[in-house]
Amino acid sequence: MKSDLNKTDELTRRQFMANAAKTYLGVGLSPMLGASLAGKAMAQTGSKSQAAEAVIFLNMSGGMSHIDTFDVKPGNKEIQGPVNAIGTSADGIQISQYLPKTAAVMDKICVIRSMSNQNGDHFRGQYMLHRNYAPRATITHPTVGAWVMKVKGRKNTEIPGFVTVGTGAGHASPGFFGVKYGGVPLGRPDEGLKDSTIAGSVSVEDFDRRLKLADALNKEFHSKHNNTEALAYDELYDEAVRLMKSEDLKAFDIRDEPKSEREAYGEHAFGQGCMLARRLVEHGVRYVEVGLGGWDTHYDNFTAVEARCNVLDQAYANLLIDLEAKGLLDTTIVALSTEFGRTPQIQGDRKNGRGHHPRAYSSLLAGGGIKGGMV
Amino acid sequence: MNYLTKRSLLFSLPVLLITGQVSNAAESDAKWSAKQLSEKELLAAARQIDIRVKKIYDKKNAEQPADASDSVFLRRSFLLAVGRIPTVEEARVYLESDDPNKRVLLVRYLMNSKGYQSHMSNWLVDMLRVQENFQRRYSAAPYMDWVRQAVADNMPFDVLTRELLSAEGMLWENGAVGYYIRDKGMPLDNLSNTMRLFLGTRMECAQCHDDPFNDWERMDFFRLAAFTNGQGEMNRHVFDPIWNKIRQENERGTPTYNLYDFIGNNIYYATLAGPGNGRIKLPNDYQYNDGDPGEMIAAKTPKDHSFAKGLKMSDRKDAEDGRKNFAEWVTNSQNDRYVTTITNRMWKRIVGTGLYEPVDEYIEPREHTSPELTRYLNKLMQELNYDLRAFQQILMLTRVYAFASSEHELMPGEKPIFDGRKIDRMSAEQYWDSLVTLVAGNPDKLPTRGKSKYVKSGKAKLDMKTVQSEIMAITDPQEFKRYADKLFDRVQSGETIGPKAKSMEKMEKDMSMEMMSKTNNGGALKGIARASELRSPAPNGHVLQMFGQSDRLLLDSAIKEANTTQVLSMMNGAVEKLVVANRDAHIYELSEGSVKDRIRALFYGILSRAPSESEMQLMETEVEERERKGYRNIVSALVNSREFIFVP
Repeated sequence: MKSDLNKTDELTRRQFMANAAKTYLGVGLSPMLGASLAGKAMAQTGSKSQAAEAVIFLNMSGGMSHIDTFDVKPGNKEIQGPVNAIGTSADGIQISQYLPKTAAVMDKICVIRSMSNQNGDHFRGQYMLHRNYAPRATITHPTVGAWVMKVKGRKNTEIPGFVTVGTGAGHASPGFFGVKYGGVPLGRPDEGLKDSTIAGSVSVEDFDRRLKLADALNKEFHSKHNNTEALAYDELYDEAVRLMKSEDLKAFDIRDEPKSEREAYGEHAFGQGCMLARRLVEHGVRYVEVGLGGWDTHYDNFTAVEARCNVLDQAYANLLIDLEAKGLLDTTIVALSTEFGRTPQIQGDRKNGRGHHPRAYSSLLAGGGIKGGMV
Repeated sequence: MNYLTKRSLLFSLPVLLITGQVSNAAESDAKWSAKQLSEKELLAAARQIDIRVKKIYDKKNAEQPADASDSVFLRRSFLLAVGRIPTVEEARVYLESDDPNKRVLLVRYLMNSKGYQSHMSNWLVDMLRVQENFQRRYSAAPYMDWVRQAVADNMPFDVLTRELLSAEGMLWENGAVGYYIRDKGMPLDNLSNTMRLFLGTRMECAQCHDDPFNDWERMDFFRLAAFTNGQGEMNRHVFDPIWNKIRQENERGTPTYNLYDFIGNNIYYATLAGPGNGRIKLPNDYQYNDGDPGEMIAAKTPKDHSFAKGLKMSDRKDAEDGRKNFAEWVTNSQNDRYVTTITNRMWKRIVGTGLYEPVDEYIEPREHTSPELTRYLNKLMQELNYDLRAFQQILMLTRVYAFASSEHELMPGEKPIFDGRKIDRMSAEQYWDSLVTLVAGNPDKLPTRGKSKYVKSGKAKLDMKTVQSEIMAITDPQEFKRYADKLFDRVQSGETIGPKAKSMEKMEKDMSMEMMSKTNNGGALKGIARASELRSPAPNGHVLQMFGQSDRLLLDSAIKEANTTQVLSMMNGAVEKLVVANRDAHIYELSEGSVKDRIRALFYGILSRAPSESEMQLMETEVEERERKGYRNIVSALVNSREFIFVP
């Protein structure tokens, strides 16, 4: 009944993937984008040949309606509903009226309108988006961030190279690459890195004493059990302690940002998350994902999409402007995507809702040498 | 806790250990006859297993591994049977007892405790992916309650399987219908999970195409799906016309809209009609020659000698018993895959290494390390009438269970010889419940979630069983409208709607679970309850989530992977706040006596063993140098040690 083909165990599979990663160096960024498309955008970068050093991925979870955002169908009232298309700073590209600030920076952005997948299920769609594979029950694939860690490694070795903000912990998963390549999931952008400072009740001396005592116990333990998972924790303790002592820990603390800056991004979790992402990239973090949920607009699509767009528009446009002003845009890819689009049909019985539509959706790329103002 | 009660607990534990305590066999009014095995019978079965395991070694001319130490046996048994570490008192009583029979007594004590129910329900809730709410946020409480009750009653696993697969009717009357309602709109995925969970058979590939790695064809999958096809909601035709009208006439959020929305989603949604048509239409993209897209095909079980005798239904008309037939076939005593799968799941749970792995990819017994061992275990499982508690108890009495831990990693294709458990990080639940033990002592005494009878609508509380059965008795739309109008008035006035209003206090208790789970606002002791009593799954940022609790969306999605946030939480976060810096934590309660006594108590309570001589010296120095703070440093170090989070 069972073929030998699926008897390959974790170890060999891991080795295989490690080799594959080495062989196809650079594959890290492409799963999410579709190799050929990314290639096309890269090829047209003209004189800017600087390679990207960081990625900020904005995850529009729930299924962002492409029709009401970046893939407008002007003139087709039946599909478009009440949304008007507006011109942008890029010739010949129109986007939704809900995104005026983004329209003004459209010359920096490349829109991919031909995204498509086969999953109308949120989980499977998000899994595909992050890992470029359909979920399997026997194996967890690495996320794009983990690939970046595996292929490029950290830029700043004192702090994590892969961080997710306001998105499920699963999106920080290293999959079968192992803990070293996993991300650090942050729940809220304003909380900083949780538990990353010594508790108020503990002195530095006692903190160090505790580590020493635990070390003594651990030595004994490891001598009895030579267990890789247990040893992995040792690695993480070392790293966590380094992190706690690192000057760069302040990268996680957005309270350092001036009020004007915070307002420019928008005083909401997503805006602050984008600002945190910029801070992290400044401090040498390779890959940051920021989540914006609430796109699952089965019901009352237009009201909901407009509200989401208000949040997105301000944060996204400002992120591009800010990165450019700080000279980071050329080395930072800002990618934006969702797991699937929404139906052209407008469902009157759901107060003008739209259903799941995996066959078409839009993704955006900007920065990192990618040519903007194109579709 | 004052000194006196502590003493009496210390005295009572040995009594508990010796007499055992059969907690719920008498209370249960279950509809199956559980055979209560005597200790002698349990031990006899364990010896039969020992004989067969020994043969594996004899054949290789090898010696069996040595037995684990008492402290390893103690810790392992607590973590595997009741999902937590022992308390200081429990550890001391066990480790200091010289009763030669103490392992047997310990296993009996654990398997009959409330902790077993908690730990086992975590397992089953994971397997069945039970969340607090169904999709779209409507209460799944009766399903959760049903699953928990099944564990408390020790419902035989084959009965449980049949009840779930063939359930019909109203959720608030029969929580088992939650098995299908949970996957409403995804009956094919539900079937894939059924095959995987109960029969160790992966058919999800065949959902869309013939499986290139297995023999399953897409036709096989749809023929199976036909058994369960035709699920729907009860009496929806009574509700829909009125609901459509209400929806057009009322804005979302208005009281009228809300009430009908509530009825639609909490009453009608929570029903399961359709006993299984026994036939199904092939999908529009059906791509093979053996059927046409849209063709009606009859239910038929796949052909394989590892399944029970084939079963076929009519493609001419809808049947009344498709799901019932399917359930009977799945659990049929001739269905080798069924018995082997649950046997292997339990074996892996206790012994650590499966007869084969992964447990949801069935391998025939003749391919196993010892076909004789597997066959004996299968036979035992059936003779026990699928009593999972007795089966696990027997496994815990075997020698193979008691072997010292090993680090033997299986190579591809290597068959396991069961030479000792490989140490394994605690599951999120084991870790959390162990922290809870450090904070509160034996957590069996902590509040439990109770059964949820009520759901809130506005200010009113509705006794759902009553309301649902009243509404489902209505078959005429006009009558329904009159009922709803009346209900509207009662809801508006904030009444409690049910057979007889209970005291507010009792009701608050019934509904308190939601509040308990919110741990981030409030003192350290808020939300101190076992994982099984908290929200399923735990909210974002909870220790349970941080340590990889299953999201209860996908089968087997719990993870034990290490990450930085866990480590930070252990050093500076939850461990510090809940345990180390918490003066009221149970672990500090036995802080009497000499420095040595106190250090020993901390080791008993955290690592379930006495300190070695060198450890004692090290810790004594710590106390000497740091005094009171030294004890805290010791607690922090012990909880942060690898030994703490790995199951031996």
